[in-house]
Amino acid sequence: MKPNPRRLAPLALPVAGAVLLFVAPSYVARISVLFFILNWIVLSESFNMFAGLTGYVNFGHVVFYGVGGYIGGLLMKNSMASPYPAVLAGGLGSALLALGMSLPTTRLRGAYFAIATLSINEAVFVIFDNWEAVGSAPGFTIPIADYLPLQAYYTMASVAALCVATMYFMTRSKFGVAMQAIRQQEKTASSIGVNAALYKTVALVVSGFFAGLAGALAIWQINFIDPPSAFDVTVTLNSISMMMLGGMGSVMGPIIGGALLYGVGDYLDLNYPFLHLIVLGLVIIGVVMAMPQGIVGASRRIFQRLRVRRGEEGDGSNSRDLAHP
Amino acid sequence: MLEEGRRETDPILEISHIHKRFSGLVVLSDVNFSLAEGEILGLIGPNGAGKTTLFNIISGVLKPDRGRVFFGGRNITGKAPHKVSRMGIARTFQIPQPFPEMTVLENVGAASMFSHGGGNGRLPKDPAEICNLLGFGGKMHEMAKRLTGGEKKRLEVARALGTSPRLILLDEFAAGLTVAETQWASEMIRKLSKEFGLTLVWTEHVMRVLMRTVDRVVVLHHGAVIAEGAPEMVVKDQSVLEAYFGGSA
Repeated sequence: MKPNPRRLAPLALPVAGAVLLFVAPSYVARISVLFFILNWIVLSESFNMFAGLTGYVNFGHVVFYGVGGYIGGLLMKNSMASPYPAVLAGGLGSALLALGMSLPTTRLRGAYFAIATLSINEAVFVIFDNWEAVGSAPGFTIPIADYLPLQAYYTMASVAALCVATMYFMTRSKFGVAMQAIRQQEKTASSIGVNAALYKTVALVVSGFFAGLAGALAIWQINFIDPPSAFDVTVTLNSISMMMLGGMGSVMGPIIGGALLYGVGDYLDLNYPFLHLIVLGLVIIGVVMAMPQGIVGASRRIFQRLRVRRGEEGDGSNSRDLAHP
Repeated sequence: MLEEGRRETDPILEISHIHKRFSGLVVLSDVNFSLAEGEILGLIGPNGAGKTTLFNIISGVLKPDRGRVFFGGRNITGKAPHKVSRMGIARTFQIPQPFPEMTVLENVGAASMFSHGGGNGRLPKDPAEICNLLGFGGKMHEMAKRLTGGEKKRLEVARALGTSPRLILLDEFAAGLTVAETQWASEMIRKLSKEFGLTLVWTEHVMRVLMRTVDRVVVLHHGAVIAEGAPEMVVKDQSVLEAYFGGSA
């Protein structure tokens, strides 16, 4: 069979993205900026995997990041030859933590879930702050003799690509329909045979896995970890802002939001160190008020309006046809 | 607990000695009844009689304090709602609960996607066909949140059918419908039983239409069954009249 060019078209974007990630270090002076943009994209996208899809706001998202960082950091510190298994262990450790966290929390609804996850964050912080074996309050540094920024960057880029691909398949499958159903009307979802608790658990575990990878990768880059930075609720809040700015529940949302917020934030931080948070805050408020569906949602609406004007909208059917996956 | 040998054919649903209380308040006490396949049962009673609680127990949302529910001979007491659904029991909600951001077709499609084939070989498998059956021909691609109240009620049934059930629990189905819609609902319920062999339990606290539609009536009052039988018999029952009108009629 000859490959149909129309079928290959959707591949253009991911391929372009991969090429961009690959060549970017040759054109950007500070590779660490690229690294952290990708780090934030993974944090925000992994947050989106659970919150954006199920509608449950996990205020303890940074716990996955911090625990992944600690596991990865401890393994790197204690004479591991290669950081790769340490990063993987960070992801798996956080996935396991997410599994444990899901048992009590997936039975909670709405605000109760948010409060429970927020208190988990606080509890984990206190534990690490007093735990001598992992450095307690002062934290610890990781002496990496031959640190290679490109190695860390390409690992980060691969994780980011894998994270976005995972989110893509989560939304374009039966899994995605289940998540939609749970978010829109959980009671009804159960009544049509959706095992809501199981789907929520899977989403939280995958979310935890990627946030844990991001945490371990960040330690590789920063070489230092302490409880206030590992379990900073601001990380969760930033993940939320990025997702909201880009578009909640969409694959592209956290990519756009993460790149914009971190990129703009970094620029403002460098040039206006005292004003940057105020400016950033105002930008977020403005965007959320003007585009409640985020950048992705707003642009979707514009395209739809253009299509209607050109009279292309045939039967008014939705592009995502859930009935025929 | 099964009353053996009472029926020639085994009942599809058997409610056996169900008790339920909510912190001191007795909601259901020793409720018993059973249904034959293809039967339409009207479950009536004044507000607060325990009709919705009983539905929640059958569909697995609530666990009874005592008693058991058998479906197709299997004990399903306390099974999770999604498991009960996959076994072939569908339900509609008193206040329609569709997936608001999905179209009519997507609502039904989602239902058929997770039902694992369901248990009814006579119902159409194609979600679009089910939509047509419920009169959604021209509105299949309408968002559920844009439907009128009556249409949302119909979507409840379409979604229930999407799971390919053998038994449907209709909770206050006619409440809020216009006279014409109620008439249509009555015809549809009979059609579902006759053409697809569906068994239906229909609760209502207004009786008129229900009485013309169902094969048999069970009357609940303060959580207990006070009468059971053919509609024309039940309306003459002294205890039923007292429950509805108070005092001795």
